[in-house]
Amino acid sequence: MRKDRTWKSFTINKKLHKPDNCLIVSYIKYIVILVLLIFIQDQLIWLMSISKYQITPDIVIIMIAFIAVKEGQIFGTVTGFVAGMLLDIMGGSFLGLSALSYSIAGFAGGYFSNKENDKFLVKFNFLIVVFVCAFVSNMIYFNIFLQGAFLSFFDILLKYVLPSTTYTTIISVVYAIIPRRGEKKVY
Amino acid sequence: MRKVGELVISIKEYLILTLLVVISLIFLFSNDNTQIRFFRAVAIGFFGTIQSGVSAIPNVFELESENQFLREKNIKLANEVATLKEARLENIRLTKLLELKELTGADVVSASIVNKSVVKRRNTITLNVGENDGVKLNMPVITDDGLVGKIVATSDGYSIAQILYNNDLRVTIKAQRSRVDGILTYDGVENLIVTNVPKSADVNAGDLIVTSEYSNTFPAGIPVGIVREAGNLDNLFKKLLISPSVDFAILEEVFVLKYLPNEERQNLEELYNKQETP
Repeated sequence: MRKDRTWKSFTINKKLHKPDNCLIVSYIKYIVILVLLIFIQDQLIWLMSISKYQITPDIVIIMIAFIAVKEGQIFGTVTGFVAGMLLDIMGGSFLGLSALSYSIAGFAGGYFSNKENDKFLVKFNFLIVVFVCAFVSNMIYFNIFLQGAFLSFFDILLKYVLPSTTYTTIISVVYAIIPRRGEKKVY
Repeated sequence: MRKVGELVISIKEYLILTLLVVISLIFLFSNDNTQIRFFRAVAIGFFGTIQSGVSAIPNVFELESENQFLREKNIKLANEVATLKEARLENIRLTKLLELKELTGADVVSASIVNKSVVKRRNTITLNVGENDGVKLNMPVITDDGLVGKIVATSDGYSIAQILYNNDLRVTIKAQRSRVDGILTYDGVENLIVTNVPKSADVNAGDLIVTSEYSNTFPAGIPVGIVREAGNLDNLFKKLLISPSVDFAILEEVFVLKYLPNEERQNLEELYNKQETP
């Protein structure tokens, strides 16, 4: 999948499918949605926290996964880094931790990218991408964040990583059930 | 050179990832840097203002658990309050016990009532202290309010005391104000009475009745009750109705006074009584 995403093929694809102003519009859309999601993730996501471990969904990773699949590995990685840095600055936790986990998650999401066939963006297929990205991101984030908390790897996995990943995947069902214009039915 | 360029292009995803990971790690390990701290303090201050605005919104998912937590906390605090109240009452009792000890000059044994009868003619209370605690026959039983009765039976761990509402118990008393003597008994129905008080004696309703020094069983001066009614028994004597100082209905804890009759005095009185008896 990743081999299709060379600069050359990207440029050709751009020229074939989208004019420049369309691209700019779509990037602006990404930025606006991402900033909105980062704001919600930082300021309002606690409203959806569950269990005594305060598990929350990661709605930013859903967008990063989408961008990674849609635009490719480099885009996914850079978007993950920028979004993570913003979240770190806003959040007051370890600066660079979200950036690190989101960068790698965006990179992982890029493996599902295929310009000729967006099958992983179709309906419930996207949930697989979200699960993988969220799992990668949470594994990195919680294992670094909970260093010194005297929790074993399996404790972190069972109490934080898997619940948060599952919660995020469940939330991303919203993406699957929202009807979109001109969606290709590829299964 | 061209080959190098192609190689870089072919692995550019990895190079970019590596670069961003390295930058992230640099930030991660620079969290204690003064400039980073300052920058973060400014950012947190800015976003904290927004945060305070949205913090008023309740978390519907957490409401139930929060409610549960508050209920549990409430029960714990209620238990704590009850324990503190008990401790306060115990403190008051022990303070009174110390005062009592100072007042009587005798040692006391604290006891709980494990059985009680108050509706018979011969009413008694069973205490959870016995000979092992130094309790002996005829020792007075009191509370900080006044006289309860005296010990009439003992075992190793328990003892039984006659209370004022017992036909068999007679207490030599006197009116504290006028020093008029008398003997207090239970009429077997509902009243504590003092008979054989001369009609001319100065005793009125409201007078405090205390144990008399004529008694060899009880130390003098222990409150017994208040004169509720001072009526005429016949042409010569008055009949006093006494309300006890101790509320027997709610009595739970008492003190056994380690006070025994003076043997020398007792022997002398018994000897004299034998000589008098034909």
